[in-house]
Amino acid sequence: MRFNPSQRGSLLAAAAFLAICVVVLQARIDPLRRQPAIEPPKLGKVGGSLGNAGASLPFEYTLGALSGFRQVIAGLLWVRSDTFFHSGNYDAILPCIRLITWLDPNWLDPYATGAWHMMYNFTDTDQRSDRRYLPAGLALLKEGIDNNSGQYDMYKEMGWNNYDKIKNFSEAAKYYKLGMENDKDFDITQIEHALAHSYEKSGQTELAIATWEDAVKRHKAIVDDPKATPDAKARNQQGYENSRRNLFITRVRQYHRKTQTQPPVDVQFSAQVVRVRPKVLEISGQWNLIGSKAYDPTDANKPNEFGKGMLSVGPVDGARVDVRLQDAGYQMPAPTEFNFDVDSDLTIMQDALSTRGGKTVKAGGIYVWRKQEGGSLTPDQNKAQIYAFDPKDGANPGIPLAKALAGGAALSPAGQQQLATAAKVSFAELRGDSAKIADLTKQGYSVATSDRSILGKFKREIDMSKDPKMYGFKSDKYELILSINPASAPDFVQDRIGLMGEGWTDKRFLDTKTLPGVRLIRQKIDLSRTDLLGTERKVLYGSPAVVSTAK
Amino acid sequence: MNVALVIARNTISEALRRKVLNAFLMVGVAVIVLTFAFGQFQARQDLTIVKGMGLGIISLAGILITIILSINLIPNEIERRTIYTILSKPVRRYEFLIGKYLGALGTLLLNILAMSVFFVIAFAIKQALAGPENPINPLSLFKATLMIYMQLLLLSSLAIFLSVFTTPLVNFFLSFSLFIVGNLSSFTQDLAKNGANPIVKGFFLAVHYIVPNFGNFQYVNPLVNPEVQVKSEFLFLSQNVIYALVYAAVLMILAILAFDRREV
Repeated sequence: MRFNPSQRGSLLAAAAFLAICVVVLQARIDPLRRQPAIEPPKLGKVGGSLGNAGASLPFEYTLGALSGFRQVIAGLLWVRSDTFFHSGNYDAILPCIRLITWLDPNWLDPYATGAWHMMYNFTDTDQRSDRRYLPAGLALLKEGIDNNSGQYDMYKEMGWNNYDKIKNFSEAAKYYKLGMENDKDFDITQIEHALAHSYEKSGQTELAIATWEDAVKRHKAIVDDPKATPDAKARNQQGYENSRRNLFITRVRQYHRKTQTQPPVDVQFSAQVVRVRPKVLEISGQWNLIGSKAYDPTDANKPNEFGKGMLSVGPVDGARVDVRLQDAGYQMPAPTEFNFDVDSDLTIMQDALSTRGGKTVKAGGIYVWRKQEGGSLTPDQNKAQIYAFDPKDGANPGIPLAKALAGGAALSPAGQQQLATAAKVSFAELRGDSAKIADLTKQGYSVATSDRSILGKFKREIDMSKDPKMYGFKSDKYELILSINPASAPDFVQDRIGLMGEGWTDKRFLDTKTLPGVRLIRQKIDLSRTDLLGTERKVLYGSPAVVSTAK
Repeated sequence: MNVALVIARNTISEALRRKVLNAFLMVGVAVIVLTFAFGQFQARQDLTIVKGMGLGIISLAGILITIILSINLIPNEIERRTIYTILSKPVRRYEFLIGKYLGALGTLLLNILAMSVFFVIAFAIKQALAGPENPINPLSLFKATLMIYMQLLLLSSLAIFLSVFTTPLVNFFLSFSLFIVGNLSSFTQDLAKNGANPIVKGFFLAVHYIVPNFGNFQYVNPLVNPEVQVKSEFLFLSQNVIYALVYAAVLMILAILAFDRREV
């Protein structure tokens, strides 16, 4: 028996009605289905060619991905990208990462590792990062955040990369805070401690203190929670102690830096830029890098006793001068969509030159004279603010200790204190101990007959000729920026110059505009392509007298 | 309707006797077992791989069983001429077709259920031995297998609809192709959204809404990554179930109409 025309019509009408229902249902399912937790973001928005990964992606990977093995294929690609990493084929890693994060957008490791590659591992021959990849690294992390906004992990990565690599501390604080707000199960140590450090580095000391206080409470609550596992208790006990100590140190610094960073130190920054040969620059200079030589020990168990703060101040080693050469006017673009195709015409070189060798002695003070450069000072000598001088610093600024004590030169009260601190006996006792005096004299102990100060120096030859892919020098104009950011300086330097540079000044290079609220030391030098590619040795900037450029 | 149920029962018995389907089932179970040997797969958390691989295998084995079973249901009856005997009895054509379809669904249910139960038990043991920080409820894996079953229910109706007017070989490739296109519906939707040419946009929009959206039923990710938060999970799952049932109903009505006019 078959259907009559009327029955056929009814069935067709039913099918048409149900077909309309299907369309309506699909329209309702689409937005639910397109959430990152269920389906990867569209491939259409992916920028950048798939490069080697596309070429080397076997068909079975594609088929596997289409047939419901997305996470498995992502795992296999991850193994493949690890192989690329160990074979040094870094260029092939990024397309793999691209595919993995597309196939498995909720797998967090590839975002973090991919960003790490881009932010740190693409380097020139001398291990300087290829900063053209930074926007791509940040964009990948942003995508990770968009796809995993309910977990703190990606905020943590974004915060850390802003903190450590970009040195944008307020941006780092923003992401750490978002991590806390979006995931109630955030790791206190990884997120809140880092948030407090970011607040402090961005000059928001009050917020840093409030954050440490909150971290102390959170750690304590877990330590006291009878339901917490022993492992969680142990970790949080450690976190509790660390955050208490950091809270106290931050308070101490806040208290003392108000007064101990004044009056401002004159940095006396100067630099010289020499083109050694094409694409090779020698950058040298000097500045008055001083910091705390001894600090009153703090005790977190006595939260209202802030001690004396800095006990002595003097030239120190350790702060760095940032050097950046880039196409004139380049500004790092804001992270938008992940695209790992970098602009091959763009040139950016960034390095950090450590400053060392600053020293000082006043007339009547103690120093160590060495016949040749080298050797380190003992902790006692450091504690006594004794510096070592050698012929490279010019003529001997005084006479040997034995000769001085025999009447050749008078020790100042400060010099007597220095000697007592270093020798660990009183000055009166030392005067009667000829053997000890002979021993100290043999070690080079001397008494200055005039004041002598040597500024800290920095110097490095930067060779960009070995990496033509990274440094194409296609632009006609460049800018070389030498800068010192007080927020990035070590704590013992900040103890004197302040967190935001409130304790330093410079007649020529103090810059309060580039980073609002931060007193940078910054010098921008305009250079042309010819300046950088010329063949003859040439001083491009500065005075040859500033620092000897002889090797 | 009793007639359809009798035909369904016979279809299940017949299907279970077919060695090729059992072979797929055995291969599926064997590969699930092999999945548990991925202990050294340190690049991704072991259990993640086990979940992804296991659900993928159930899906793949299910697809092959569905297509091979469904494309042959009607042609086999015609080829063996048994259909004449059946239709000469008081059995209406639509009852025959519905019975065959229900039989296919019953067979698929038994296969998917067997693989799922085996997989869930094995996973529960594996998880208990591994002792992960954030264990999941192994029963939650049934959400994915339910979606796989609804996907196969739709695929089976498509294959039966096509089998009314195509040969099994043509039907195999056609069903498989439509299955792949239906899995790529996100792409067609994106192409429809982003296309500049209105004709192209219209074409991809039509493809997105007309071709069965097999991609709707991919529900592996939230189970593989249990830390992700799915918004409106129940709504999503229930709408997909309704979608599969309604779309299958449309295809079966069309199949019934086509089969009704076919000279057998």
